[in-house]
Amino acid sequence: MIRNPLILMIGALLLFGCQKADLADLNETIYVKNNGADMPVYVRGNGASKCFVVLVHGGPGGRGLEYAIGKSQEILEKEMAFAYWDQRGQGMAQGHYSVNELNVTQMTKDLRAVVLTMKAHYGDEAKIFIMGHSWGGTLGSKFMINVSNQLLASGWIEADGAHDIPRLNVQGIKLFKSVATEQLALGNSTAKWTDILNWANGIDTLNISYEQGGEINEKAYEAEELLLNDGILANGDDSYAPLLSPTNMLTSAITGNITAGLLDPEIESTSLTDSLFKITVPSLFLWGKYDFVVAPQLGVDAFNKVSSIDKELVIFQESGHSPMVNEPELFAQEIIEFVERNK
Amino acid sequence: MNVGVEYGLTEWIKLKSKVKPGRGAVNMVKIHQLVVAANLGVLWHPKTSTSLLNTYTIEYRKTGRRRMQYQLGLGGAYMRSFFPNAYEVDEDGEVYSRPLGSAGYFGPNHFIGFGRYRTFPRTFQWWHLRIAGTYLLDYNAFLVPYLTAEIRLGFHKKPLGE
Repeated sequence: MIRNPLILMIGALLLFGCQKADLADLNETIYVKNNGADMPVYVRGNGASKCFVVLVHGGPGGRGLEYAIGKSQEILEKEMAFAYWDQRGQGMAQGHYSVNELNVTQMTKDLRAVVLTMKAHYGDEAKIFIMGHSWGGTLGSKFMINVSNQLLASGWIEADGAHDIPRLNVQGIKLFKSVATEQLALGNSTAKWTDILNWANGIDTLNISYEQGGEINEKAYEAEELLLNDGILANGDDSYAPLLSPTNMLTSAITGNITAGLLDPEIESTSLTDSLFKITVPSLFLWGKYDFVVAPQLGVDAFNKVSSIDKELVIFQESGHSPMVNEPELFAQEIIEFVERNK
Repeated sequence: MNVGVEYGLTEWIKLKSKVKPGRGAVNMVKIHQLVVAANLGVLWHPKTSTSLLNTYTIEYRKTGRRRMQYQLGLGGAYMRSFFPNAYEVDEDGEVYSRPLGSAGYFGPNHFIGFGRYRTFPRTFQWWHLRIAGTYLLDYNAFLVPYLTAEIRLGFHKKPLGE
């Protein structure tokens, strides 16, 4: 008696999950299987525009949908569609593979698989843009320096992207020192900035250890908090993820932390600055002036190194590591103009 | 957060009991049981995978004063996730549609819970609140705990006190 309703219900749920989507207001999930990993790609926004931005999330240990909330996405999703991809071992990605298959090269292949799947699902006429934030900038850069990958993309957007970890640590310390000096002169949060300045002065930038790299990351958020409290950073967005999000926060946090731990030793030595000249596709670099995690100097480096004819660097004056949060309207506007120009 | 529904079959062995007749009812003072159960459930979210969760458990259940029940159990589980709009990309970059894309995981599970037994033989005989943890092996490249919070309702007519 009970068996039949249960089978009917499972059938109905699967059928519901496969409903045809409304292109102008997309909200569907695609799963991409590549070398053992089953990775969800949550596609939202205006698919009728035929412009799809594949969002490569930060971390490692982040998740695609953490970028789907807030004012910037509200604006952007009206103009184009965003594909929020949960990378291998993060978010709600699952599957079976070995620890050896969890590395930057494999994840770059996963990104290619996502782009190919988007083309297969939405048609070859779909224009694909790659946008990486923070750690997503490492993957995005690694993907873009491969010429065959560039053929699949209409443009590259790097938002505070970490394409050179050893260099970002050095530049981060320089930024700590200059901003701390500036804030002390202004009389803002003097005790805390004095501590930060003393700490930064104690770091030997010629020999930054793995542990110190983690410390720089922690201090970066501490410094952003001070700037936010003192009104230097704009407090543009305070949106939170909905309770019934497809992301199970516990599963995501556990898998993300394990994955980050496994990837960290490889990432800490990843330096792609010298390979950026291989990039010829239109490129947009978006950076927060007060980004201590990935200092704006890396944006300047990337802008100078790429061989793209259409390239632009925008430094947001009231932003930290996430300008999409601090200055969402300006952030969205830059992306809309870039995509319009290159679609 | 995913919502789900589960159906289970249980069989129990009474280990020890001390029954005191009450006013027109059977007033159970203390009963110790071993309960074996097989459950099949479905966990669902409209925008992510649909999972079937199959568990086999053995449970120690104690019924105490005021018919309160406490439970502690362990067992094994199998979870299969089904993916909407699934595609597979091979080494040459060819993309194939996989309409029944899925992945399955085995793992041990355990749970703890409490509830209340109702007097008299009747169709709805107990309710329990249970927190269960299932440890999915070989999930990504490692092990992942999967937590569920369950409200369980018992429907049977076999009274505990006889």
